[in-house]
Amino acid sequence: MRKNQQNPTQHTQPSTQSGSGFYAAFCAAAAVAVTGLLASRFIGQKAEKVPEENPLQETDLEKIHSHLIRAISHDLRTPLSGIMGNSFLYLENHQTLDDEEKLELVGHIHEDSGWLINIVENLLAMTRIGDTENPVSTREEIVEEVLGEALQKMEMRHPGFEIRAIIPDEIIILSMDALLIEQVIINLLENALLHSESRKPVEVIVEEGEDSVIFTVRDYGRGIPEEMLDRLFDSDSLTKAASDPHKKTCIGLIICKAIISAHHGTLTGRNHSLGAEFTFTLPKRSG
Amino acid sequence: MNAKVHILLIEDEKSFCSYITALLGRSGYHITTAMTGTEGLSLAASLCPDLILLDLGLPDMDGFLVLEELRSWSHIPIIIVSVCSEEQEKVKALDLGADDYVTKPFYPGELTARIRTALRHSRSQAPSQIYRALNLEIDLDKRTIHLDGEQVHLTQIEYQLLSLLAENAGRVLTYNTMLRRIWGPYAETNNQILRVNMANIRRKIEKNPAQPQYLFTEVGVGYRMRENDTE
Repeated sequence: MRKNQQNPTQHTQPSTQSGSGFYAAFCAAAAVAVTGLLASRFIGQKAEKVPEENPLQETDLEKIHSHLIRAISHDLRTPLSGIMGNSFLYLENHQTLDDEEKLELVGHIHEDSGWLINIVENLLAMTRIGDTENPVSTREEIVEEVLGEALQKMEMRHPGFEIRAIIPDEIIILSMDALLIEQVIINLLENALLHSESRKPVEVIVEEGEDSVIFTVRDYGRGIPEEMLDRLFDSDSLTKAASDPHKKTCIGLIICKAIISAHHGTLTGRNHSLGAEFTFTLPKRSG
Repeated sequence: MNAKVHILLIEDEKSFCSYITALLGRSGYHITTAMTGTEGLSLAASLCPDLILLDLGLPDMDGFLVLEELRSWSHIPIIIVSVCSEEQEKVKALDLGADDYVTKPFYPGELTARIRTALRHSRSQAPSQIYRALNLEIDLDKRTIHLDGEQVHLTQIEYQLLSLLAENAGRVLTYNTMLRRIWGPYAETNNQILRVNMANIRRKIEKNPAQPQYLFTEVGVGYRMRENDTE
């Protein structure tokens, strides 16, 4: 059960409607990105060491591709038609609308543009992933700086959404594409914000292992539905998602998976006793 | 003399111009717009605005060229407003003398805050001798730092870095700028030593280095210190 009436004015939890809209939009971003990535990985050259478990057949890929394009068009249209429609209503009827109605229309336009921004950011992130030989251009980064910037962006987009970062005292330096890893952290946090159905603070925990650094995003919400647990990162579900826009899959997570794989790391999701947690690792020295 | 601060907006996107004019008009600024780089350059010279907002994607000439041209004769604060969020673009613009860089789309408050900061830095002849924000106080004369009333001890280099950022509070300083200012013109181009020093400072003044309140990172670009409350 969730109780979030305590603070009705500071509302950041999107309505169900906007939630699914956001979700749909996000799927579109993921879809484009994943197609691109799959294409570069599986068509461009015969990849010798493919990190994914089940390399896709080209026919499968074509099928996914066409489904995805349909999904993208559909999902971009959702926020765009919202913006078009609401602004049209305002322009045509501004003399008869009362303040509350006006606010509502503009509020929807604002929300819709938020989803579009999110799509674009994910797309931009994905253009930074190259081919199998050279998946990402990494640079040595200080982990807390990357995490800190991601958290600052979250703070700006979702003020009032409480996040607790727990990091070791030692300075950790790690090779990565910082913008991509920020995107993973942001996606995982937004995932928790949208799907946990809880307002309890989300934790981001960084630990230093022997060969890798381990990042965990842990929420205290309703957890991951049982039936989704074993296919969280299953790109087959893209096809289904594309044909049924109401069906919930985890395409945002598939993008995260792609980014982490490109860094030769791992990403897993599971439930703990009080909610859901996603863990990704990045190797300390690749190669 | 007109007391209103005059801002020149060099930007070719009409709807964005009208948005900025409305946004900044409400904050009491007077806006003039130029739709091309050439027009922008000539208006900058004839109007002598207090600040310039420059979009890098102009129809007639490269925005970086406009920036260089402006900087060749003027110290007017320039804030870049661009759709490009690539680190290299930001670094290039800042190193060419832009005062700040805002990526579209931005939150309205973000732009007005950056404008206030840039205007403040361009006006104050003698920089403030005290930096104060939240629970941190730096006395740049006495070279002392207090956090929650307790004195903080930094190494020589750490203090130089922190005071450089405090003097420029609110603006982003690129790695290059910081390296040159602290280690001299022949400093190594490798910024690792700078970043490790910054991590050490964070450990001394931030409660949680991953959720800083004073020292913000722009990964791949540089650092920005929280606004100084005394200015």
